Amino acid sequence: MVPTMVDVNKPSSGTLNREAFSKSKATGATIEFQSVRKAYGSVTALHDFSLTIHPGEFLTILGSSGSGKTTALNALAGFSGADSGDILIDGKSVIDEPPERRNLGMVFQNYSLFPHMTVFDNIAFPLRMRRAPRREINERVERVLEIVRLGALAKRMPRDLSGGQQQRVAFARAIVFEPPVLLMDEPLGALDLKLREALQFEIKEIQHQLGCTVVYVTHDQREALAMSSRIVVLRDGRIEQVGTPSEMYDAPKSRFVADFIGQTNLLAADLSKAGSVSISELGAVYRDAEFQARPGSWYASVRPEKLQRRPAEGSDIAVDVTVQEAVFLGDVIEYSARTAHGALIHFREQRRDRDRIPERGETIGLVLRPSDVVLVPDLSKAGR
Amino acid sequence: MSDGVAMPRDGKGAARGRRAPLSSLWLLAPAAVLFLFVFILPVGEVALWSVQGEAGLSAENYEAALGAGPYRTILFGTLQLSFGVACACILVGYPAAYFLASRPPRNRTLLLLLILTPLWVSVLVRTFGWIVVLGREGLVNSMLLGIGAVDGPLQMLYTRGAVYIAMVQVLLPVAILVMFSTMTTINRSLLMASRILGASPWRGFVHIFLPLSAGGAVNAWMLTFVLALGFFITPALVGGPKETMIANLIATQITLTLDWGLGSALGMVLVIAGFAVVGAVALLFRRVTTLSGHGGSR
Repeated sequence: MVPTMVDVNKPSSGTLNREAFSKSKATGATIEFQSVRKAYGSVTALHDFSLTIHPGEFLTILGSSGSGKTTALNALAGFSGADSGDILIDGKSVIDEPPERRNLGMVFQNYSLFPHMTVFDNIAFPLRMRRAPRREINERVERVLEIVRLGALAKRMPRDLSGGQQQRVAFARAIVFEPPVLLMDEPLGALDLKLREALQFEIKEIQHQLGCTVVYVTHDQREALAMSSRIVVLRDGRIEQVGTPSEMYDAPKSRFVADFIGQTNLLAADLSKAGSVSISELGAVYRDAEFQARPGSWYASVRPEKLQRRPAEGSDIAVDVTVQEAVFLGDVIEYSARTAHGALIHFREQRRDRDRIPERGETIGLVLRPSDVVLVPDLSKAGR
Repeated sequence: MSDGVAMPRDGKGAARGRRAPLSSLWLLAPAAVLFLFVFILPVGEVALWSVQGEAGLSAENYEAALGAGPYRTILFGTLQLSFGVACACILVGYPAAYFLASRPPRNRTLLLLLILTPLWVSVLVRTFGWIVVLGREGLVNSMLLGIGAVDGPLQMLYTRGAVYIAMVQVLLPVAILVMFSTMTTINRSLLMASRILGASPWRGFVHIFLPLSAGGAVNAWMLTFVLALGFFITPALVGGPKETMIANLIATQITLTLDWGLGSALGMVLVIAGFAVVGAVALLFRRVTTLSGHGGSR
């Protein structure tokens, strides 16, 4: 038994050692992607990728597999060149620099700890490669081990650590030389949910303390929402939308983003020349002059929590639905229900004390504010 | 799960799982039986012969084999030659194995097949090949004479050099194969990690790839060394009388002078010397060899 071992399953118990940050805040770097293009054979993995990442920002590149997110990260890391375009770090082009000259910290999906080195030697590796003096190496490794609370495990080999501990070592190794930029490639993908949430919190905390710019790659939209200051959604090698988590959730600009981030009901919408929006599956028609006669195919995105059981007022859209299923989740109840027009929709409500849960087959009235309907185009049909 | 249906209540289940279950030991039986009849019993018999003198048990055969004299010289010569051949195989084979292991898997198979083709040809034929190449009127001499680099044919056949070259050539594919298989277990993302953390390609190789592949190199060395110890045809055909190896000597004792006692003693000495060297090497490099198999693949 190791008494000092970290209990990583306790997210709220402050597993992070704040006092260990004695040094002043390092400043993160600015990263600019300028029309970066990369193809593998006939497949274009990244089309004209342009993006400016600000100092100290926590930017998440979100996308499913094959979306180009790893390609973008590898181009920044220097593992794969770009066919065209440029990448600048603090205004300096690094496109021709090998990875070891870019001064980036990186946490890999499988951690990539060196199996023949102890925890200490793994973390000391980037310092040794920079030919830091022995005393400085010892000091820095000890400090970073304190930050991730793994001091007692310094002499262990990676294979003797749990997944969460290995993740912490990988993280410590990436930040020990205080890089201005930290790259993370699905670093929490291999961990179970509870541990993942605990480490999300810790990573955010440490990033706040270090002040470095983080480029985080994931396919997990919840992770992206929880951690990022900004999110880039990539799809088929193109940027679908860039924005803060709340912008992405509240104001998705395409059907894909609306569907990808958070849960939503997507219902076909007709935009008339007269400026009315008709959502036939809800039996709803309302006016929205902004979307007057837009071309293409449009959808109404209605978040499940926007459909509410309350008296209708003003311009509210009333929708009668028949409950199909009620899923009890403790604080929240999730419903699936069918509208009178046959569409299956989902909604969710906070459970108040001793509320009666409507049963299957029961018809209930829901209310939706027109301003809570987000109209999104289906870009995949629009011929991008 | 109120009653621990799926979990052993006393926690003994976990401990039991870690022990090698006795019931699966029978899987070893066929190999063990074969090993008993074709190795342990014959070697035991040879060991018995080696300690039989004219009047019962005697150490006289070992005195003859190990005492100062030609036998001891040949024994040390054999160890020395095998040591050198094994080292040469590693030095020549390591870069080749590295090259193979860094190819994409599709090309790898074909290249590996090419490396292994020599193994399809018997050692005898390959050794005869060297006679053709290195002989007085062989390929090398004709060429050197042809371009006027030498005045007369060089004596290459029946030298220690010829034995070296032929033995390395025969054993090289084995060494490459062993090192290659270790190298393919090394996760390439470790090298990427080393680069992004500040290591040049060369330092990444030295600090990451080399230590992780060293186990394979040590294993390859031990294997080629042991195989070299028992070489018989090659030194007999391309080596001179000075390159007699202990295997040739044993054959002479058994088939010509019919001194089975001395032949057996020499055989036992060879087996023990081989074990000793391999054991020492394994012990010396045990940190390195335990790493292979942990090659960082996950």
